[in-house]
Amino acid sequence: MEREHSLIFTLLSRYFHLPQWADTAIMAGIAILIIFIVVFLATRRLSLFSPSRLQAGLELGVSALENFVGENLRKEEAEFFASFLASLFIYILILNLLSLIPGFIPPTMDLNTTIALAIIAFIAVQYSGVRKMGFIGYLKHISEWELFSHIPAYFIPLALLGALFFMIIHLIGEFAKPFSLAIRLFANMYGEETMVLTFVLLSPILFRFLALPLHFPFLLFHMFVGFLQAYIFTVLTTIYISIATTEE
Amino acid sequence: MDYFTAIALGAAFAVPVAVLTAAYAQGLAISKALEAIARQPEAAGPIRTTLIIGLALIESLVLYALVMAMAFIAPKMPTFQQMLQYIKR
Repeated sequence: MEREHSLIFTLLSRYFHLPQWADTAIMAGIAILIIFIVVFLATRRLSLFSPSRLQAGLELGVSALENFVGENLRKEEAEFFASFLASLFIYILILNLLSLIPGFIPPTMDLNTTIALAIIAFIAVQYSGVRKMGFIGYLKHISEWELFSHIPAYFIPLALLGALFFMIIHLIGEFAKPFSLAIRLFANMYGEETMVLTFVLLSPILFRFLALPLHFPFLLFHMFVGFLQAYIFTVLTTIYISIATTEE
Repeated sequence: MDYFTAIALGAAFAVPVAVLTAAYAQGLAISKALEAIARQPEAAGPIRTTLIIGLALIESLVLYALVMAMAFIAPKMPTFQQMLQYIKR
């Protein structure tokens, strides 16, 4: 598929032979570096009574994320998964908002990034179920074994067949979840970037020699969508974890 | 050429049809949310959060159609040079 490239990738590929995925990898590395530097600066001089502005802001964000996870999950899961979900949110947010810097593209515009994130979320969801009920318990959970546990002994083959049927249906559902997560994030960022690019090119087409920033409202909308998609990715992962750990 | 005509029409109609249905669904969701807020103004905060999540979920369906049109249908169209060759023949 034809796609736009970042400025760094374009400059580097003049001198080196770079594969297509190097662009995404460089951008993701820059995002990780940004997160690391901000958090390092915020936690360098920790203070309880006179916190710096950065520290106070980050503490606000962390407590908001912890509250959000605590509302949606039970206490033991919330304590275990809060750091994972919060880092997922922050990482996707920074990746999405990276394209506001001129010359950068968001790595979530690449399907590889979003599929990797969705696989991590999938593993976390399955692990949460296994952690709560054990492997056998989780198998019983996804095969709806409670429905069949009270029937007479001579119906056991039928019960096993029914459990297998439910298990296959639930497994298809489980594998559809990360797929829809990945496609949703990718499609939103790709569509948004395409729209911004279209409106950047609109002004020279319309007015010939005048380059007006017609895409500016779409950049604001891009900020909103980037935040919203990071939020939705986290919300859906949280809901999947709460579904996997709830026993009816 | 009928094959390419069908591809072009498919790519062109995929997104508008999705947009039509999704716009109807979003209007329905927003009107219900407005009714709920008018009935209970003190519950406006949770309703708004749920509404925005639902709107984003509906909107992503449109973008599925966009991705399908752009990634799966549009690359099958011939380039300009290939079109010229077809016409020459």
